[in-house]
Order: sequence, then C-alpha cells, then structure tokens
Amino acid sequence: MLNETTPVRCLIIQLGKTSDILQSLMALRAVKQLYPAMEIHFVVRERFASAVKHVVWIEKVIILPTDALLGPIFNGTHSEDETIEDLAAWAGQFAHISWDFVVNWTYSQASSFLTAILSTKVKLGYSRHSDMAISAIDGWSHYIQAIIQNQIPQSIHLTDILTTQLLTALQIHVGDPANAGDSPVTSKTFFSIPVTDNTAYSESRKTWSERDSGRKWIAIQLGSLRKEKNWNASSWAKLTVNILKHHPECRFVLLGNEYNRPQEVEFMEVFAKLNPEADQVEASKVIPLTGKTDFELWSEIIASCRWVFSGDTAAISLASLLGTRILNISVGPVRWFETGPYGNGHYVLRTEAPCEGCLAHEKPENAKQQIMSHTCGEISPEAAYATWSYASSEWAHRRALSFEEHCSCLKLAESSESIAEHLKRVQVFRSKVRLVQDGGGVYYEPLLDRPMDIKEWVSIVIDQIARAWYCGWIPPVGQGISRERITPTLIHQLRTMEESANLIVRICEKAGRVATVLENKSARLKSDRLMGAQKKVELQALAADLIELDGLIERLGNMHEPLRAFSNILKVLMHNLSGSTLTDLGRESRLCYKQLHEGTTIFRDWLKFTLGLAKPVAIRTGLELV
Amino acid sequence: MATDIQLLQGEVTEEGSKEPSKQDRDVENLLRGFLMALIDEQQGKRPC
Repeated sequence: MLNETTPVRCLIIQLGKTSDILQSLMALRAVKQLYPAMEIHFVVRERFASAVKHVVWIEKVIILPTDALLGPIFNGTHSEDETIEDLAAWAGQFAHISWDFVVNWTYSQASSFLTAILSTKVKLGYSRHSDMAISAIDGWSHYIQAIIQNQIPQSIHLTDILTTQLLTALQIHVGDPANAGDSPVTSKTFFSIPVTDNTAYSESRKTWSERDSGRKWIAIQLGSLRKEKNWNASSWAKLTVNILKHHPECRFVLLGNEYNRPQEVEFMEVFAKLNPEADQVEASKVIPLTGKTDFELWSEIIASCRWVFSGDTAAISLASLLGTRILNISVGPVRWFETGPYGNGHYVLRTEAPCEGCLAHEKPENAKQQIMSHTCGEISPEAAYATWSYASSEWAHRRALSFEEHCSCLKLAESSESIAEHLKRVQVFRSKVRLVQDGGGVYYEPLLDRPMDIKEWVSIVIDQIARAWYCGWIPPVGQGISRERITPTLIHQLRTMEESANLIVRICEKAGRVATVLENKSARLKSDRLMGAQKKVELQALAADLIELDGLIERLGNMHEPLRAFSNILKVLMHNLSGSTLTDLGRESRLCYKQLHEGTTIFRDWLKFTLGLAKPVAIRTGLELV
Repeated sequence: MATDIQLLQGEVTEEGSKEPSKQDRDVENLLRGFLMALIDEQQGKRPC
C-alpha cells in the first residue's frame, strides 16, 4: 500500500476531444475531493488543452503537440524515425517520473502505446502487452472494451465509470478516503479563468458583458460537427419564439463553432420571419455569438446562463461541470445515457420511434449496404417547449404535478396539434443522482409512460451485472422493472432466449469446474514443460474442453444479441490473462469463468423475474369475496 | 535516438555499447506504434 501521508502522483492520459476531457475532469474532481493528497498531472492534445489549463487543482498540464509532431511527416520534411525521436524527447519530460498511478482514460489505440511506455505502481485503462497486443488492465476497462465499445446496451454514465474505476484503485492501493467527500462536484467557478484582453474575441466579450444581466439567459449550442447530430436551426428558432412569447423575461445567446455559422444564419432568418414586425428590441433578445468565442468566453457564458439547450456533448459536459441546467435535445447516433447531462434536474428529449439511420450507424456493415436516413431529428419545437416549461417551473409545482398533467394545461395557439400529439413522438427523461445506498451514479427517469423494449431491458440488467462485478453491489432482482411497462413483444423476445440463458449459466459453471481441475492438476506438476505422457494428455483434454465451452458461449452470443455481452467479456478476459505458468493460467481462467457465471446467473434471474411478472395472476372470484 | 529512448527508461547504457537492449527496442516499438496510431487518428482511420 502507498504511504497515505505523501502525495499520490497520478498521471491522467486523455487524448480525446473537449467532451472527453470535461468528463474526465468531472470524475477527477470527485476523486480529488476524497483524496486531496492526489497530485494530478494531465496529458492532453494541444488543440483541446484550454479546459485543463484553467483547473487550479491540476498540478501540471502536459501538452501533446500533435500538429507540430505530425505536420512535418505529412508535408514530407521529417522521416518516421526523426519523428519518433521527437516523440521520445516529448515523452522524456514525464516518463522519468516514478508515478503512483497512470490512468489512461482515452481508450484509444494511440494512448495505449503511450501508457505502455510509462512505469508506475498502478496502471488503469488500455495499455500494451509485451507482444504489442492491446491490453485492458482493470475490470472497468474490460467492460469498456467488451460492452461499451461494442455497442452492447448499458446505461452507466461514463463519468460514473471513470470515478468508480479510479476510486476503487485508490481504496485498494492508498486506503479509504479521509473525508466523506459530500461537497458538490459541480461549481460555477470550476475553472479559474483570469480576465484577459484576447483581442480575437474582445468584441464578443464586450457584447456579452453589456447584456441585460437581469434577464433569464438561455444559451443555445446550435450543433456539432456532424450534421446528423444536429437539430435543425428552424426548430431552434421556433422553440425560441415560443419561449419568448410565454416568458418575455428570457433572452438567448447562440453558441457554436465556426462550422455552425450557416445554422446561425438560418436561425436568424426563421426568427425574423416568425416576428415580422420585429424591431430592434425584439432582435436584441437573441445574441448571435456562434464561432465568436474561445473556451474561456464559452465557459463564462454557459456559467452565467440559467439554461443550456444543446445536442452537443461538449456543451452538455461543460454545463454539467458548471452546474447550469440542461435541456438536451438528443439527436443522432449518440449514446446519450453514457455521455448525457450529469447531475440532478437536467432534461433529455429523444424521439420515441427507433431511427433507422442511427441503427445503421450501430451496425456499420448494414450502413454500407444502404444509406439510411435519420428520423431522430423529428422532435417538434412544441414538445421541446413543453419539456422546458415543465422543467423551468419545477420550483412551483415541485413535481407534485406530473409532466403529462402539466402538458394538458399548456396551450400553444400557433400549433394545430395538441401538445399530447407532439409528445406521442418523443421520450422525455429527467436526470437524477441516486443515493449511495441505492447504488449511486446518475440515471435518467422517464417522464412519459412508454413500453419497455428489449434494448432498455438489457441495459438495465447489464448495469446490475457491472455493479455486481466491479462494485460488489447487488440490487434486488427486478428493481426498476414494472409490470405496466412490459409488452407481449418483450415477453416473446425474452422467452426465445430463456433456454439459452439457462444453458449459458450451466456452461460457465462447467467451465469453472474444468478450469479448477486444470489449475489443480498443473499445480502438482514439477515443470510446465517436462511431464509424463499421461499428464500431458489429461491437460490437453481439459484445455480442449475449455475451448469447446468457449465456442458454445460464443455461439449463444451470436444467436441472441443480449448474450453477446458475455461472449465479448469472455474474449476480453481471456485475451488479458497474464499468467506465465499453467497453474497461473488455470487460476486466472477459473476466476474468469466465476465472474461470467455470476453475470449469467444475474441475467437469468432477471429474465425469470420479468417473465414471472407477465404471468396471469389468479384473482378471487366474486363468490369467494362474498 | 538511442539516447532519448534510454533516458526515457531512466537508464543510460554504458559508454561504447552500441547494441540497443531489448528494453530499448521495446520502447522504440511502442513509440513507433504510438506514432502510427496518431497518424491513423489524424487521418480519420480510427476514432480519436
């Protein structure tokens, strides 16, 4: 165990984009509160370094100058070997430090090579084996590789995964935290940004500082780089007009990158069209700043607004960090439950019907055959307005009024359809942080009664399995599944895999027994290389049994999509066996099958429970009642 | 180049030794892998 009194030197490798960096910062903040002695160094790409530079509790920011390193290779002025030397010199500035923890939160190929170079007491995330194959070091990294990066439904937020991963490692290697760490992680002053006179954005800064700060400001992040992830600009404009009509105290600021400028132009055109008699005063209700902010001004604006409306993950992560409430209009192939708003009282709006374009994105082999159009952007401005009006009046109704009751009182003269009609096409969720005794972490409570589909069912069960595997926390079977949300379709899908779910439990159990025999037999060997012919045959037979059982697990995973979680995790676990002797490998294999057996048993129990819910219940006859 | 890689490992080989150790070669391979993966990411071949 590390010495508790000396600083714990921790290197975080985050070579991802702004949204990944902000998520890492959120997780780190929670960890730093519990372990104030942590000395955090942060590796980041130059282009995305601004966010980290302004965090006072980060000891040192190490910048990877990607453009300076790769530019000469691309323009042919540097050879590969010369660039490797440059990389060695760059890495040399922190590779000589004896780290306590090296945490690779990038989960990419490139970052895994860098992690492998560094020496440390504890490593987390992706690294490389001695044969250069990628390695997932810890349990949560296995989960990310097998489940998340393979698009298996699950709904544990990435911030929770990163926080739990590091906290668990700290508890093991440093000890329990000194304080309870119940102070809030989010803060308007998360970043310590000095007042600058950055001339490039001084005009925007001036505009923002001269706004009417007595108004309720709402920031709209107009979009992201990928078109399919954007809600269209005219919908944003219609939502704005609706809000201004019913809430004249509100004002808007438009945010985004340079590439979002066309959307801003379209927004302003639609806004003007919907306000034909708009005068100067009307126009001043919207400040267009798209492409006119740096990170510093962007975060200052988001921190000073009451709300952020966005479909962009980076803006959502930033608003989460700064404690600004979020309306997430979630459009496109986004795993929003993993990267959505973090904290209490944020809202997420999605279309109800599955989007063919997004489904094709999840399975790229289908997308190649047919380019599917996206229908996930078909969220009406009226549905968005209804959601926001409910959310922003929570202080008054204190949620004693249901969302549907609230919407039944809403009247939008400009819409030919009732609000109820608009809501039929969407799903609305409210974020909530669970109490520690309930498992902790953020979850999204659905506000509209919708039937549960197989994906949602699987994601609930996989969450519980992950908590059992990596947190040792097992909730009561069936928590979160109600009879009312179960449909005949779901029951049919569960029934078709009932037999396979029972079978996979038995296979894992048998594999565990075979691995135990293998471990015991190899432990009695004097050498792994020299043994009697009989012993060799016995060991080979056991290994062949395991290969056959692995094959069966894989076949079941191929037959039933939800069981693919187990065949994936088995592959990752087996790939990461580290033992050098037969006994070690036997022991590690036994532990892998034990883990798999535990997971498949939970899966089977939840399946049985859900099918039980749908069984007809005998009711007492009228005669008996008399 | 060997100098930087050796420094990276916190080890400097004895003067006159020209053969890179296995550790040097491993680090060089890792750096090469790192560079190639960065190039792939930059060219959009792999997700960042």
